[in-house]
Amino acid sequence: MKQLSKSFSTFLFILLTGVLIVVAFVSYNKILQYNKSVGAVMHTHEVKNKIVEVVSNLKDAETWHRGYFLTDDSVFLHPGAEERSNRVFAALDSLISDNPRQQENLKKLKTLVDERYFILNTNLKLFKSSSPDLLKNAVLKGNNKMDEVSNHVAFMLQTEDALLQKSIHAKDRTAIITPIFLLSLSLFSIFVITLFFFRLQKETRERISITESNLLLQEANQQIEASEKRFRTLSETIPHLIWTATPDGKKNSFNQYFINYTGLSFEELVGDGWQKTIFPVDLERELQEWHHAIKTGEDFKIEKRVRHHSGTYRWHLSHGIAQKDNKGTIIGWIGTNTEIEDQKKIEEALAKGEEQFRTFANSIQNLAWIANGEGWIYWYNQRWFDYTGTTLEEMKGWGWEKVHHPDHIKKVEAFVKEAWKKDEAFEATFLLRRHDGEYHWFLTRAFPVKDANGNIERWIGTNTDITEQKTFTEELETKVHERTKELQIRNQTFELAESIAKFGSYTWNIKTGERLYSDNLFRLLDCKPQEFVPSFEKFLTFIHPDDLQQVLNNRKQTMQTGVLAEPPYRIVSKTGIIKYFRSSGKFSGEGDNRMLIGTIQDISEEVAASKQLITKNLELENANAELASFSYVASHDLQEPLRKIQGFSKRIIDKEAENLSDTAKDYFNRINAAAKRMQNLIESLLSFSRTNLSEVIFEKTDLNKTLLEVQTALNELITQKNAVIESQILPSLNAVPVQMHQLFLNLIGNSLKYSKPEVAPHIQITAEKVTINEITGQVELYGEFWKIVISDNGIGFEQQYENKIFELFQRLHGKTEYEGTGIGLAICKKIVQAHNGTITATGQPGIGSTFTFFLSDNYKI
Amino acid sequence: MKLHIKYDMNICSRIILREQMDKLQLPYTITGLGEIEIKETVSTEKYEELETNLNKYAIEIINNPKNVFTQKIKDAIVEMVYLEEPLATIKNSAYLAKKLNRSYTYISGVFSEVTFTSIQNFIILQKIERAKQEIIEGKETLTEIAWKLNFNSVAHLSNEFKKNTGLTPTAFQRIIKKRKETDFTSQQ
Amino acid sequence: MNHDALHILLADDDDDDRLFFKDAIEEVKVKTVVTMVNDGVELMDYLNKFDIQLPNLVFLDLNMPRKGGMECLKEIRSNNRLKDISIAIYSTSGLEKDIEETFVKGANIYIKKPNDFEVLKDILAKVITINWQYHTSGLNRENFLLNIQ
Repeated sequence: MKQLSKSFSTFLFILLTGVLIVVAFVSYNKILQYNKSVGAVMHTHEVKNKIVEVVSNLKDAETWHRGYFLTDDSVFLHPGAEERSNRVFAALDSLISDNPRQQENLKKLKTLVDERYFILNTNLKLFKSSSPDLLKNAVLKGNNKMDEVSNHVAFMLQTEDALLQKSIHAKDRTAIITPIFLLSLSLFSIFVITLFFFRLQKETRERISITESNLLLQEANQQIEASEKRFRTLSETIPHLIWTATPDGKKNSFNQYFINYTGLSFEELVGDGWQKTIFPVDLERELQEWHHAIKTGEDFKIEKRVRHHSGTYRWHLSHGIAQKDNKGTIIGWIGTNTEIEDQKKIEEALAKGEEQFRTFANSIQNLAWIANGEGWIYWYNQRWFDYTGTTLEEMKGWGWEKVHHPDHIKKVEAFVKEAWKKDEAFEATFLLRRHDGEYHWFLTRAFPVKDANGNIERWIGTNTDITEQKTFTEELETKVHERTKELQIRNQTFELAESIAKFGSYTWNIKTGERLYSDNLFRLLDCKPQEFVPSFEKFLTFIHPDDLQQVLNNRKQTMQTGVLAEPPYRIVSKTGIIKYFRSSGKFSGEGDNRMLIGTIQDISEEVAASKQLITKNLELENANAELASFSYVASHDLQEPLRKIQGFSKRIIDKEAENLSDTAKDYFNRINAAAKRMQNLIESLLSFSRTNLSEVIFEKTDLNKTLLEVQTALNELITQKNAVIESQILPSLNAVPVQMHQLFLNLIGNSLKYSKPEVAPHIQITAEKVTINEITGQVELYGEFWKIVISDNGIGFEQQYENKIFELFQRLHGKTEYEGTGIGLAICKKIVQAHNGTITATGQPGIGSTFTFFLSDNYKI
Repeated sequence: MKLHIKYDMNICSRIILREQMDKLQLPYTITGLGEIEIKETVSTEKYEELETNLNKYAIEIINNPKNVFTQKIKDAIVEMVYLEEPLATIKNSAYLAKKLNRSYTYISGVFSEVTFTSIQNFIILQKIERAKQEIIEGKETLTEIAWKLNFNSVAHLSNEFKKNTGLTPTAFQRIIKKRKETDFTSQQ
Repeated sequence: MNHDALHILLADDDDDDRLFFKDAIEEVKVKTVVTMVNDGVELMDYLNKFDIQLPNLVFLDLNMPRKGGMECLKEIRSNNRLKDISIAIYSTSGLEKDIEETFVKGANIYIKKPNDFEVLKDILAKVITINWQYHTSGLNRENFLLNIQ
């Protein structure tokens, strides 16, 4: 085929060449022809031009002459026209030298032209000198000549054209054919070339690919060589036993390490010799595997003991791979034996450990299990089975799910699945079903066991029954919940209390400076709860500027003394309200825990109230003072006229005794008496009012002294009546001395006054301390009192009047019988009441009276 | 500034007497409280001059012998009351009789005649005066004072004091104390 | 008492009281010369005269117009020239507070105006006598305090 195409190609090639030569040749001819044509045309053109030039020259000369004729200006005279014309003719001559006919024509033309010029010149001369008619004839002649010239020129031109036509036309015939012919030839050539081109390319490609594949093959071979080299190097350097074998299982190469390790030579090992390196116990297994591999071509993997040259057997992991060709045929085996003695030892240890664990696990109360790295449980301790009432078959792998509570199992699964993936120990709590169906809570703890590389090999786990704990925890939680609720309620109550009582609480850690404010404290400052971070500086911004220094000083003192006793201070709240605050607090804790815990109370109301109280007190005092002075003045001024009445009536009686009748004297006496009574009344009233208004200063009063004073005051009366006053030792107590004096004075005075006529008054006074817990009448008495009893042997009184006698202005006798105003006992009652006590009276007409009163011991305002 | 002073009238008067007598340039002797013996006779002018001078000091020359004697009695009583020993040991009448070398009856008679008051009154007056002083000094309690001055009891003293002055000893003490506290130029 | 008459001065605005006083004094056995003024201003004017014989005893009412007894008391006691005068407060007030105050302010005697004429007589007699005794017996005038109620 190739040869065929080859000859065809050659043939094409020759054909092509021939065609091209023809084309070239024809083209060349044609071009020459064309050039000729073009030259002829050019020639003709030039000739024509020259001819025309001649004519134009002539015409020019005519024009000039005409101009001169017209203007008579010598400017229009151009000499040299003839010479010019001659030159042109010369040129023409040379041009048409090949055409005799034309040469003849040319000669004729020349003649004509020359004649014309002659005429012109003649005319010129004529112009100067001759008449217009002559001139006219001359000009006419000239013109005729000109015509002749023109005609001749035309004829010449025509001739030239004809000539040209002829030559061109002649070529015309071939003109069309040649291009077509040429064009078709060219196209044909192109076609052939194209064919040729493609053919060539194909051949070339084929050639290249062959070369390339040859190159690749070369490269591949080189690589194989290289890798083989590498393999060899590797197999010699790495500390593993490496061997290769034939497809039928005969080992045919060993690396140096193999040889060194086993201590046997290549000859000893080759073929089946290597089998003696295997531990006899493992050999059977080895051979089984090996033959299986050879047959199936599957990878060969086995652990076996291999004999070290020292005589010891060490565990190795053998791995053999079949080398296959592209068809899949085994062409050989490559394998390694890696020493795993250490690993094996670890494994053994692990297994031992696990054995130990199992023994241990079986002995403990908890349930225990072991799983592999993925969480597949393969062993449970006996407890597990005892508890769940299951077997290993049921439980192994993920079987434990069976004993989980159905409600929780999903969650447990999810959790555990995640946990297996991690490499940390984990815990979980769930329900496990007991063999009797009851569920108990178990806490499982799983620990990963990692190998030397850190990968998880096993999981060991225990499950502890925490039902009790769980219940306990649940109970605890419930309790905590309750307590929390209680606390919440209490907190709420407390907060409510805070807001009602208008105080806020704070804690201040001295060391860290951290402060906590209760919500209400913020509210006190008219801020929102926890509006800002509490700090001393922030708090200071609320203090009223006038009190700021005081607060700082007090705080300094507090810190120094460790006791918080600061007086109140003002603050300006966020909304600009001024409030009075009182801080209180206690230090607690030591060192780092030292805290100041306290409250701040808004005492603005109390302050306002106390201010009001002070104001009111002042008003009251003023009112009292006014009243006192009024009473004094009133009584004083009221008494003055009475004195005069008494005085003058007495004087009248004394001085005018002789001049007065008895009646008159009597009247004056009555006047006197009346005036005296009025005076007494006024004095009593004054005395009574004074018990209200007098300065009530309680002080330690010795009643014995009081008694003495009273006796002194009543001395005259006592002496007069021969009265005897007996008294026990009287106590000293907190009382108003003046009032005590009045009290005793009135009572003893009464006893003296209301004594039986002719009977010496005998007054007895006793005192005893008592504790009272009763309600007497309308008065409540509680506590310790001094019971003082003053009894006499006077005229007594009827018991039915026991209350009346203490009333104001109430008397049991007429004013003439016994003088008196009826105020005395009322005053006594007031005084006793002012001392927190009561007074009562008992009387037996004709026998005597007893007055009992109680005075509070240690009365304090 | 305030000064609290105590003075013995007797000594004061004696010094004044001496001064005045020296002025007279007459030889004299002071023979006892209330008596001066001038060796020479004194002219009327000199006598009047002396009298005038002494009057300036409220010292009077007594003409009346009874007056003189009364003065003596008074002096004696004063001396008696201001004795250091407790007065309980002394019987007034005996003391005076002895001192003045007259019978008590005579003494009391003259006294009453001249002064219109009884010796007893005067004695009590003097005692009260002394009590006042003691109270002001404040060194002794009322009980002690009462005993020293031969009163039956504190009450007795209190009574007599009150009778005499109208004030209780305590009130008296209080007043004197307050007096001293105020800016007060007191008498004498 | 064989001396010249005792000079007594009474300052009281009450006409009746002056009358009583005069009558009572007259009945006292002691020789007296009594001067009366109506109020405190008159009193001080009188006392400040240089050509008069100063009274031995001044009875001073407390409630007087223009110048009251207390004020006069103060003035008298601060006047060195008047130091020998015994002052008796003669007043209707019986308030202990008032009494003590007058004593503290330098009064020697306090008399509550009695209603009874006889009583007044007795009081005046007593006062005069005692005053004279202080005058003559070398008793300490400073301690001369007498309270008559």
